[in-house]
Amino acid sequence: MKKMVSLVSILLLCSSGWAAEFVVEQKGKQFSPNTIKAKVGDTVRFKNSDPFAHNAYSDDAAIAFDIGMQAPGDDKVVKLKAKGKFSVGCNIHPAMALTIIVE
Amino acid sequence: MTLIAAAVVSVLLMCGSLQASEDKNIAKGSMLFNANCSGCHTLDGKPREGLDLVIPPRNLTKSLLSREQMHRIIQKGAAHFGASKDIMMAYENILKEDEIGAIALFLSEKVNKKSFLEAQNLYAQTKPLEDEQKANTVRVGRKIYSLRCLFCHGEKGDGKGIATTIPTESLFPYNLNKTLLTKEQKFLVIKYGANRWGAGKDDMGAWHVLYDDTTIKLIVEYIDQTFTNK
Repeated sequence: MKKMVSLVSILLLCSSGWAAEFVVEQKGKQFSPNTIKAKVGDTVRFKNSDPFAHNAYSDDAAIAFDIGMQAPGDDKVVKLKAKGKFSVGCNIHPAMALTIIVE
Repeated sequence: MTLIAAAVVSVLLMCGSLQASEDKNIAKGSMLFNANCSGCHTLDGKPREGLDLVIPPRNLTKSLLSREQMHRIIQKGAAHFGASKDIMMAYENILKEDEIGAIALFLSEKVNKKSFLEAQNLYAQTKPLEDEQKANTVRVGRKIYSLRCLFCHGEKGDGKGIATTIPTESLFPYNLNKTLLTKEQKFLVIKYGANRWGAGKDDMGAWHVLYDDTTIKLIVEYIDQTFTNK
């Protein structure tokens, strides 16, 4: 019984700190979805589904990142470390825009 | 009085004769365009549909090029001026100089006159760079070039950036060392994207969503100083 309680406690502890992963597809020169609401610690997986190269970056200081060049089929993960509303773009395709709201 | 009247009549006759000669040349250009270019472009300058080409032909009705620039491209081919795919071939060994001139005249008068004037008008509405702003060229221009242009146009501006290699034949940036575009035209291509001016592919996007006119002009200054006119 004691073992059972410990196991449940561990599982509860784990689930309370569980970080979600959001998959953002780069397809047809667009981010899909183009808006996500996340929490600090969550991650975003950028998946290039186009037949040409892509990139994802944010110049917003609080989460500034640049995942570099992504070949078709590549995916790269970014961890969201701060609260705020952030803009993400692609260095190759200026019309691509993603908004990440971190609460 | 009689002399003045005679002079006026002579001038009018000359003008009429020049106009008739130009009209004749345009008609010749139209005929030559139809005979040599209609595989890729329709007679009204639009891209022919249904072609299995890596890069679709340009929509010439949207071109911002001058008559002289079109003349040179027809003569030497697009690759000579930086196109990374040699799709628009050189006609200098196929057509005579005056025939190329007639096609360029036809295009500039009957096909892209409106877009050429529109491009000039759009640029005329922008503010010129102040000398103080030009002093920022290297700092601002290099920074933005490194962030946003390098992936495609490469460190040497030769259109061989890393994005063109994964995979190959997926992006076709221009070699900025060879382009015949003027500063004004480069500004318009960066601001509105190449597709707006007739490019068959829309890989060169419209950067006005991120940068204002001054910043784009600084990028152009940097490109000109570093690559085009180095």
